[in-house]
Amino acid sequence: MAIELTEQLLTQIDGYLKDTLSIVEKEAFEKRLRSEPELQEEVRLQQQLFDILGNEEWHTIQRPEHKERLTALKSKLRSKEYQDLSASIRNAEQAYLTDEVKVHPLKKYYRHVAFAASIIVFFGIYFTQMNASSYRSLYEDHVNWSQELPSFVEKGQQKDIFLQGETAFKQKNYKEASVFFEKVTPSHELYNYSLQYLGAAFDKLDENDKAIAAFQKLASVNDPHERSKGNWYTAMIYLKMEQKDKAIAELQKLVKDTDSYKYTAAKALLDKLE
Amino acid sequence: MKDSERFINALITGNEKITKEIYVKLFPKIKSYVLKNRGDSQDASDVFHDGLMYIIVSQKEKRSEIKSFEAYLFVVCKNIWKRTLKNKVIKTDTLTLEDKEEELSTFIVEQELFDFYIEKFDLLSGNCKEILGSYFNGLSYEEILTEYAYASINTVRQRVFKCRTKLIKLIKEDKLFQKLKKWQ
Repeated sequence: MAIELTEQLLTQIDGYLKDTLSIVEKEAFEKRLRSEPELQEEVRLQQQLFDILGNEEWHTIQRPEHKERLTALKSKLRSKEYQDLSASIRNAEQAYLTDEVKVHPLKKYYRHVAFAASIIVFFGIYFTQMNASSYRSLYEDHVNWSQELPSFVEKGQQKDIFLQGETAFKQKNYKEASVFFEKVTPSHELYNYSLQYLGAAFDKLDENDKAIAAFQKLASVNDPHERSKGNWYTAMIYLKMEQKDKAIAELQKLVKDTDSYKYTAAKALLDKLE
Repeated sequence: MKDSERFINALITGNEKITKEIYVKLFPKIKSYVLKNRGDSQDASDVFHDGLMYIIVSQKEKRSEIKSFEAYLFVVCKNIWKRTLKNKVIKTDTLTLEDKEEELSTFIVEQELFDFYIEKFDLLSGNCKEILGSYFNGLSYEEILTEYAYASINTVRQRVFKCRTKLIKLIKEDKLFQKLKKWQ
């Protein structure tokens, strides 16, 4: 049966939440709370109102009480659809940041330069100075493995080769991770991801040729989106190796399809490199 | 098409070009908020990403009208940051991806609750909103009496009770409340 929320009861609940009840009142109230689940619900509701409408505190839920909903949300976030949407956001961010870097030096420069001729000189300097060492910095700007590699490990789950590889990777044991990922066969449902991890592990070990070999395998799988990932990562490793032309060639393969992985970022990068 | 509709469509379909527009328009504001509140650029970037993910999840589950995309995203991002500071999970690089999903999922549930209560609160009269806002922010009946020039403490108390009862009724009679409760 629902409790009637009288003014007196609300005052008691407030006193309990703000801890202003006397010891005797508090004990009596807690005794009631233990035996009346409806009262517990009312207290929880009032606590939420104070937290949410009071602007001060963030209302934190008790995870075990929301287990079902949380599990559903986690598996949704882990699905390919949501991983892709998350990647699109990161790509848009990357494209935005690349523009920022491009625009800022010019903005500052315009303030100081009065003649158009000087601007041309500046462009000359700007582009000739974009020498080999800046290609590596482009790689550093664009590669962040901790954000790009999806996680498939769940607590209490039996670990197959892939998951053992992922665990080793997270623990920064890249050599060991590469050994596990090399054993993942094309029939494994996470094969494409294993190539991504394998390339990343070799990248971390600075074994660039092996990294490229792994990413090239990814660039030849059936799924066009996964293939474009292979192109993107291969290009990144070439940038790291300061091989601009090879990086450009890979990016050109990628931008042929607007649905490609990191399409916008790749376009911006190509403009810069070419 | 209104900006908010265009932005939401872009987010749920993964349109990177328009999502970039969102960054151009709104990221600097969020970044400056996070930097002013003990965060760094990486935090700002994660907060913004998670804020957009929240909008995707909630809008894909139930499309609802957002009057001002900018104001809404700002509130969501502020809440994410408030929560992060509260839980002191500041350095994201020590978090595994699994933790990040756990944190984001938990935030989504909390923000859903937040959105639900704010929606109900907004249905109250202007006067009720003012007086309840003050009450839930910790002002005493005496302070409310002075601030809003009521006749007596008793009038204030009655007014708070009346508005609060109305709010509770609005909350409880919504079917979503039963659903949110079931998740608890």
